Amino acid sequence: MNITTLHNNSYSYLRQTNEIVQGVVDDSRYAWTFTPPSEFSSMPEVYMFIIAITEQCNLRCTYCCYSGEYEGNHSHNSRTLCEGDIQAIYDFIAKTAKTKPIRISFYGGEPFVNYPLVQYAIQAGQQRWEDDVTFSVSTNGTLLTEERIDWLVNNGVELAISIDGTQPFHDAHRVDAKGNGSYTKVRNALAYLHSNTFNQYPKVVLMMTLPSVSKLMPIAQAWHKDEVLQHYAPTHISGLTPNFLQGVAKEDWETLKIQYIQLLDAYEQHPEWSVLQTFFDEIVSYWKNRLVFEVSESTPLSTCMPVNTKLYIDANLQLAVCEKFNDRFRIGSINDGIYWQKANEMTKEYYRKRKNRCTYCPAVRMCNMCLTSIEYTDDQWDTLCHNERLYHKLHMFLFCEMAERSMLTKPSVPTLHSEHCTLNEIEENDISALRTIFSDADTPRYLPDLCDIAQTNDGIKQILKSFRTYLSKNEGFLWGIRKHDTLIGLVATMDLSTNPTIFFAMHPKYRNQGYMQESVRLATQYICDTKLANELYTEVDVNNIASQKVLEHCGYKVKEKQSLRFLYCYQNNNTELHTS
Amino acid sequence: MNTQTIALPANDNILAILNFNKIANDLKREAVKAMGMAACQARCLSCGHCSAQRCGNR
Repeated sequence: MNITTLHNNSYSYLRQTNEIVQGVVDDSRYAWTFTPPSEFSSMPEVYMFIIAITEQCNLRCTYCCYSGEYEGNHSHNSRTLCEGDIQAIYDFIAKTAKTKPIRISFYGGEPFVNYPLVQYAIQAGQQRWEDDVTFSVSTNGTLLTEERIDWLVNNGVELAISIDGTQPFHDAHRVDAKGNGSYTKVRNALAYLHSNTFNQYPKVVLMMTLPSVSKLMPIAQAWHKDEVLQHYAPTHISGLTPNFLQGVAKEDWETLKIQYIQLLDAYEQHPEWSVLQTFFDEIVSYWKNRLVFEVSESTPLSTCMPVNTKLYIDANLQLAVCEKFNDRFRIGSINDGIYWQKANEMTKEYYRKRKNRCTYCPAVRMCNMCLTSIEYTDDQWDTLCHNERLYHKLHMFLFCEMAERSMLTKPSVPTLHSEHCTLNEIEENDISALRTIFSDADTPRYLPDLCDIAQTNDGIKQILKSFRTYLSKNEGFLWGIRKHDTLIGLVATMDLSTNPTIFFAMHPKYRNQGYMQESVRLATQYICDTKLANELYTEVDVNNIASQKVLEHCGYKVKEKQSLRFLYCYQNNNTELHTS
Repeated sequence: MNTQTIALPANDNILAILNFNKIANDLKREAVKAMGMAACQARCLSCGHCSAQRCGNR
């Protein structure tokens, strides 16, 4: 696999070593071999169980794999489990789960069309396994009332909520049987979750389906501006399952490359857009995390079974390896257990399909054509293999391009040390200490604009978020000043490329002890040494004698005197930082 | 297209970034064994998004 970046640097991926090297190197001669799968009659790693509570749904999303448009899959119907089924499933789980804690995920359809049953199932599971079980629910988010959210949060249930962007994008596909959009209800649920449980409950994952990459930019922009969604990042962005009944095209390299370069440029300009962050994080995830080592013998083929960690139980109490399997590929039932012969036949069939196809394939080590692919014909495999190779080449190109643009390393607040203090990143668990600093009588006098925003926890979070944006663009830093582990003050720089500014505030208990002078000197020195700016400005109230002294001891000089304020400036080329 | 001139990091730095996870020989055996893990399982372990690194979702 060879690519050339926009700076005309060529890189080659060598599948035998999993390495990327410079230049054009041909490694196509190495014949990849898989170890034939062994017979198995147990699944020793299973701890996760996905239970389809119902095949009913209150929505009719246009791309749903249960819409009736996908060959081999059922359509939505009223089939729903009952309490007796839940107990029978739990008996099966108790016999089958090899490790604890057990993870139980409720699936559908839409699980909450039968909310009482979901509640019953959670309570029954807690009764049976106590702390050795965790729960999650995949939901379209439309049936989450405040009362239900309270109950689910109080019971520690993780919520995987589907949302495809702001209203025009979400409602384009996620509609009910009459074509009405579902966005408003989902947004209301997310708003309630955020306002009531933000710090206490991180167990909300957002699942986005992206029918077309051409929509990604407007989705990302609108998400960032939305007052509720901006507090969330999508956890996972997926495309549509290939649907050969409607036709699956072979993708074109040049078209894809142009499209994705535009997206990368946008991401470079807007690293704070969370949708683009998730999108590109997922793209480069394999490349960033891959283990670089040489293989010289046959390797195991990832056949899911028998090392699968999960099992799927459908609404007919039939078993599958996971929920992505076509209905035709059930491998047992909760009454009969696993049909081991069928399970083994499936892995052998998969091995047969891949054995010859993958021998000289450049994407053999990263291929996503998993065991679910056994449903496809040879011709369909040809199309999917073509696209799979193309996308991996594209992702490699983006990975190399991002490396050249220094986009792979996330900037972090540098930790600085002085004789008595440490300057480092302020975290959200520092908020209560910050409230004390911002609410002290002097701070609002001398930093009125900042203290206006910082009157609430949400306001302080907004400040922290703004400085994360500054950090991502190398435009500023917000340091917490710590004496040992205690946050005693802050010093911040911002707008470094246009109007380089510094400001600071200290907890009243720690004033007039030299800590702020050490900290301002450190921060100023850092900005100048790293050449982020050659000068720094700050406005100081004429009555704020303490701050004036701090600045003057650090080499700042009065540049302008106004009736109520002095404008101080530090210039790197003229003044050395004093140590007094 | 972004036409801004960018100072490229030195080539050896780039390759170090691109091949960050080179593993020692004594870890190879475990790494080969892990190749038997399904792609979605491997992704599940590396995404780090959800609270317990197990999303159990599509």
